[in-house]
Amino acid sequence: MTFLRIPLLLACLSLPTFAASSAPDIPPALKQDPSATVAPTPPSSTAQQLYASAQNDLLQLRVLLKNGRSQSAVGSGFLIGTSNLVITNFHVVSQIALEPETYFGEFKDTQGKSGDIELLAVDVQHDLAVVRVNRKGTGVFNLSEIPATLTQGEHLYSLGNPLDLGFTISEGTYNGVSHRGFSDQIMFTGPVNPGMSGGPNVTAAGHVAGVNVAHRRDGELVSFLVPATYAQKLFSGITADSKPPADFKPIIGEQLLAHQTHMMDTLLATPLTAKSLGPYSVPVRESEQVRCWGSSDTKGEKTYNTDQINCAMESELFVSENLQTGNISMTHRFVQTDKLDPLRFAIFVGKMFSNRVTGDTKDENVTTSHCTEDFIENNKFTSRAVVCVESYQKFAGLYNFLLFTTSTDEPLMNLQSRLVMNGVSYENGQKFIKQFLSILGKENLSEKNKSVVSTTSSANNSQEEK
Amino acid sequence: MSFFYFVEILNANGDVQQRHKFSELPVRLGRSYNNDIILDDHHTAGEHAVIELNEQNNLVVRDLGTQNAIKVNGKTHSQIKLNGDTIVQLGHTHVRVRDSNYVVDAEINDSTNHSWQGWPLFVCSLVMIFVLSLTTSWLVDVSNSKSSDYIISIAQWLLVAATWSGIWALANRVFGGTANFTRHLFTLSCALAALTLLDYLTIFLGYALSWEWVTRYQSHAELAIAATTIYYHLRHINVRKSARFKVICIGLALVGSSLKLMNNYQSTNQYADELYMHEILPPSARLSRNHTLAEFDSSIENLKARIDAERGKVLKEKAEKKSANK
Repeated sequence: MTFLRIPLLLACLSLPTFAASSAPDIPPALKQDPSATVAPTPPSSTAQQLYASAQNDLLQLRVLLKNGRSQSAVGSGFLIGTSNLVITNFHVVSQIALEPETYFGEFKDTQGKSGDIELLAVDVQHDLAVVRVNRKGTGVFNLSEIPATLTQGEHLYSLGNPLDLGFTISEGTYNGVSHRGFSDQIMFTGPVNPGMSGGPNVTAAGHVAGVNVAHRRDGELVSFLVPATYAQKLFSGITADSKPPADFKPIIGEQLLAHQTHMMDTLLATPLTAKSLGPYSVPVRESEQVRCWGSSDTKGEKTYNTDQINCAMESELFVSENLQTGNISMTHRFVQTDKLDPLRFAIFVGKMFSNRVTGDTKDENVTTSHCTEDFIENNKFTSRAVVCVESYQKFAGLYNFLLFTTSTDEPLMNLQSRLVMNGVSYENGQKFIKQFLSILGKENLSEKNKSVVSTTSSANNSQEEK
Repeated sequence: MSFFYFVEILNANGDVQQRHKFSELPVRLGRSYNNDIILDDHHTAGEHAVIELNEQNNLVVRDLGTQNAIKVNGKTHSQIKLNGDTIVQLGHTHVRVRDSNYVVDAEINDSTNHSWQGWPLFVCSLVMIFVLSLTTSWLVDVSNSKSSDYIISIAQWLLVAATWSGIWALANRVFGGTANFTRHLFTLSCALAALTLLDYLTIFLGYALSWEWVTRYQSHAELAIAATTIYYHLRHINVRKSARFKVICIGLALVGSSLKLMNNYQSTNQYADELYMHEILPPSARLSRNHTLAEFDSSIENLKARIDAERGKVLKEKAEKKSANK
């Protein structure tokens, strides 16, 4: 399913780890983020005080190749209380969790001193990790059980080491909680740049509000924080002498399974909504997490017209640079012609139906696809459906599902739908496909509400971040 | 009726290059100019061999004490009896001796259709190429192409056909004496027509009857057509070797098919050409029964065993590779 990787890769590029991961990547990142080195407002005295008190507990974390010691990922982290434990993002240290035989980590403090780090716990769903270092905090950053109450517009300060340039503090404002993902994130209107991932975000009073995690590349200063309460939950399960697990892969696998259960339960809780596209009724899911966009192509010179609805989740889970998962998208494309004959139209839509899936035995993350295909009839609507499944190699019980269908009932009209589900259990995948197919059908002709797909000039979701 | 001996110098393929007629024996062969037959072969001696009758009145060839001697089927002999089909090797020269009493094989049935050649065949080939090119371009034309686009397409098809047939005609001229261009062109036209019809047939079977597996292994039928085409091209060059060509072409088809299967397996871990059938025909072409959602759901259920087996296989292969590296 190579084609799926394109939007995913984009998302991956935007992750904070990326730009600082190797020197040549820094200039493009700077170019796309003009705010990278310029704070929006001159540093206030609060920022000065916060930085002065926090600098002893602020660390830069690096993931290095065992072979050659060159750095592969860079992020930030902060010591909790007076312990020797550091909170950071999972995506900063994911390589240590997945390939401990190839990668190891080290920290560097604001004075330039460095030392080894030991990965103790991960939370893939909220993108958090705990590592142990051989020094103790001074007690500046504390995670309390009751999270700090924040009000919209309140000043927040992000600390970290952006783009491996040096430690910085940047000021911004709290703007509520985003529910676009299946786990909440704080919206922070301020710069969070690559390399600051895992760094702390504090209130003017010095309480930890969250952990820097990502920013939207298509917006200005639209950044996200992991709420401190999730960090507290992960941290509370660990003591200074906790033993790290021998292998993180089963733990990550379990967390991915837990995430997909939550995601699919939410999606399957209410039936999908039916929208009309030409004479067909197509299933969509419009919710906080899944957004839909419509587009249409009716240029005069063409012999056919196209209308399309794309629905996709704007979030996915980062597992590694090459594997982002736990997301769903659905696409419906309706094509009709009044200039072509049925035979040529059929051959044309057949071409659109081709190359939807290609097996790839070289992929390290998933197996090659296996498919099943059939001509089906439901609600007096006939179609041809193909389901292809690939299985995760490192995580048992997780699958990528791909369903694509084409209508076979009209000679001069065609509806092709596609449903992509990445990182779900077999049972959930099968269940969702069943629900999706049961709604796909022809509209009752007596119903005269032909809602036209709204066209929009706004960006589609492949440009989304994180 | 007079009685003659014929000494024939053959090339490596067994075709006669020179034929010498003698009314009496012995006949002497060698490089020097005092021989009856002078051999232009540096691997033969000045006086190499003599063809004569022995005491039992049998025709024999006798070596005159040379370094390379005389060989039959790779074995060295100082003297060997000749039966009319024995091919004797002197140095690099192949010699066969027959007398007037030699009985030749029965005549071969002339299977060549002599009326089906020349202009009618040429025009027929051209018409086939025209029709094929036009239908193919028309079927994929969704942008209201101009007639000039169709003409360009015909020109491209003709160019390919002329090049292909030209190469075969050249080979035919070299190895078979005549060019036979029109026959090669006709062979190609038939092959292209067969390939196109095969394509339509598989799409029809796959779509109308839901025999999707036909489209998944279509390339093997295509390879068989290609091998048959090459067989006919070779047959035009030398009809007497048809049997050998048949074996070669069947071998080629089998090798091609195995390579295709191997290549598919390498890229997808499956032997089929494609993972699913993408071709679509108009609704009126559907003949078989449509399945219910429940039936499709159970086929998705069955897919789980396949994908889990695939994962097991991949993990096993990886573990084996890892332990082999250690």
